[in-house]
Amino acid sequence: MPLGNTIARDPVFRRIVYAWDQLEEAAGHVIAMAAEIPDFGPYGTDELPAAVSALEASRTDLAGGGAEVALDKLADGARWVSRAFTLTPGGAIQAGIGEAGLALVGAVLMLRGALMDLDMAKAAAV
Amino acid sequence: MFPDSARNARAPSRGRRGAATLTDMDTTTMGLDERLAAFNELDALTEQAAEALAAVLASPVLSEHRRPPLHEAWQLMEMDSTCGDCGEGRCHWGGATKDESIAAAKAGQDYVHPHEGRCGCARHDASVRGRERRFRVSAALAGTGEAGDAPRG
Repeated sequence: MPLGNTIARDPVFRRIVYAWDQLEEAAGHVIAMAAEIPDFGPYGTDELPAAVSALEASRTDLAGGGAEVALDKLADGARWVSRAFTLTPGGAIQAGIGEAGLALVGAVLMLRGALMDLDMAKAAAV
Repeated sequence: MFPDSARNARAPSRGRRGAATLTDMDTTTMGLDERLAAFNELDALTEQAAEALAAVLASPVLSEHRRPPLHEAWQLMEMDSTCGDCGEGRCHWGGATKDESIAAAKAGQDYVHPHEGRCGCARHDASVRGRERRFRVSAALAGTGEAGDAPRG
């Protein structure tokens, strides 16, 4: 049996691949929702715009090939966004930031969930 | 009860009223009563967030591309503001009573035990309201591919 098939059927490997897919999808949501926000002021630290840009650049790299480095950049960008985004869902309701803002909050929650899943999947592989 | 010295040790700038948001509060320096009040306030705010997100999700004019992240945020708020067991009617009963409670919840009713009354869970009322929101969102999301009837928790 080809080695590739064996690896592809390994549940630990499949979990990691799935986690990367989830992270990429969540990153896509964050970038799309962030594009509709004119001012990141209420959402996080001064680093947030740069963090979102880094995340967007990592997805461009991913689409262009060089998967291993691009995946690391994707995770780095996601963690940076997660750190820089400080608005809580409750705070978002209080701040009255509207549908687009709430969607960005939700996208960041997805991103954090995906990062956690990825970390757990990697830990399970060790 | 906490001694007065513990209350007096609270830094004025980090008090409940002085916090920018509820999550900014330093609950470790609060007295017990104040801490409980703060948690109740946080619960109320979380449910308010769940209600607001459910209303946005159920809106017929919601942009499709915003639906998945809003759905995620709503599910997390539901998880935080409700009891996972009560939400599904699996209240803190045992045996056949639990089955009756689950059947009642599926029928859209709140189970009342003939002798004990309603479930005594602190989040039971919020969970019943959460069930109503689930049905509402589920109906609104029918056909969109998003499951509105399965909050985690």
